[in-house]
Amino acid sequence: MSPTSSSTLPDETPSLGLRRAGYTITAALLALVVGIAAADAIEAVAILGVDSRTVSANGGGVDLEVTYGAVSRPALATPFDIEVHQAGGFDGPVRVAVDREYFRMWDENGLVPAPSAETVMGAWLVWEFDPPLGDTLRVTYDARIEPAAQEGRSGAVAVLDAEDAVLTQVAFTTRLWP
Amino acid sequence: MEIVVRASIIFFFLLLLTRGMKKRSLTNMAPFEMLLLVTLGDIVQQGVTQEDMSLTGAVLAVSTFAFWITVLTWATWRWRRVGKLVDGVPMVIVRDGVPIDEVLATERLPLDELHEAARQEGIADLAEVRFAILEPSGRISFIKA
Repeated sequence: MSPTSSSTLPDETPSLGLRRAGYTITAALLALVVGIAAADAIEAVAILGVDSRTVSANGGGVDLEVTYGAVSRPALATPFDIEVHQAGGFDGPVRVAVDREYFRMWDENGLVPAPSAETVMGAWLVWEFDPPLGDTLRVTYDARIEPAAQEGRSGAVAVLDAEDAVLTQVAFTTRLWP
Repeated sequence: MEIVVRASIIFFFLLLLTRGMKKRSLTNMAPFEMLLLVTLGDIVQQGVTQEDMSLTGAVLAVSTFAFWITVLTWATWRWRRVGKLVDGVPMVIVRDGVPIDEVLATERLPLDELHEAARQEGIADLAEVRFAILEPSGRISFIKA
């Protein structure tokens, strides 16, 4: 056929096998993506978030338990709760230190209860809470992941004594899907 | 990952909506019908993704829609009955030059729209038409006498 032909017909017959393979692969990929997401929605798997985990440690007569978001996504509310327990109750303020770098991916709404004092100590953000009624202090960090956050961070929480010595400490990592 | 569930619900709701609207709405919208189309995306988006601003959430929402479209496309090809249910059936609206009023009333198709469609096909008089068929897509096909 000459280059200046006025025919509107395609120059060659497309390979039906290739087209069929392309459609099948696309359909299979869609089914896989939707299937994984559906399994995550019913908690058969924990891949896409928001999924939380709990880590704990004890030392110096204090039990520390942190529930954190193991997997999350930008702009989603994600759990971050700290529980400090001391049998018999607390004699004085409870000092909790959190890795400052961990908070860089958070958009804070509030901290409950509010600390009576707050300071920094190197890489740590140190909160001081009035001793709770009973022998357990529960702190809830009401926040969501920053909308612009694209990668997760590792963090740590420690309980300090009055001389800033670490009584016990836990570490964790929050993974983000873009 | 409940985005998949919400996206699926919205997809089937929109499918029901488009099936329930008069067929001509799909191709030839009145201004008030255009309003719905323009705002529909914004209205449903929040219901699907809510506060999820992640790339992952967007990919999942779009993939869910594409998945159901793929499933329905295959099902309508595989089973004719499904095709009739999902796409609808063609309906004769003019026979031997005479508009069938009952069908026009059911489809809420004004005679003026029928005349407009005929003019677009170069037909000056419905007497020239043996059959006019309202297709599932909302287009009107004319078969001349």
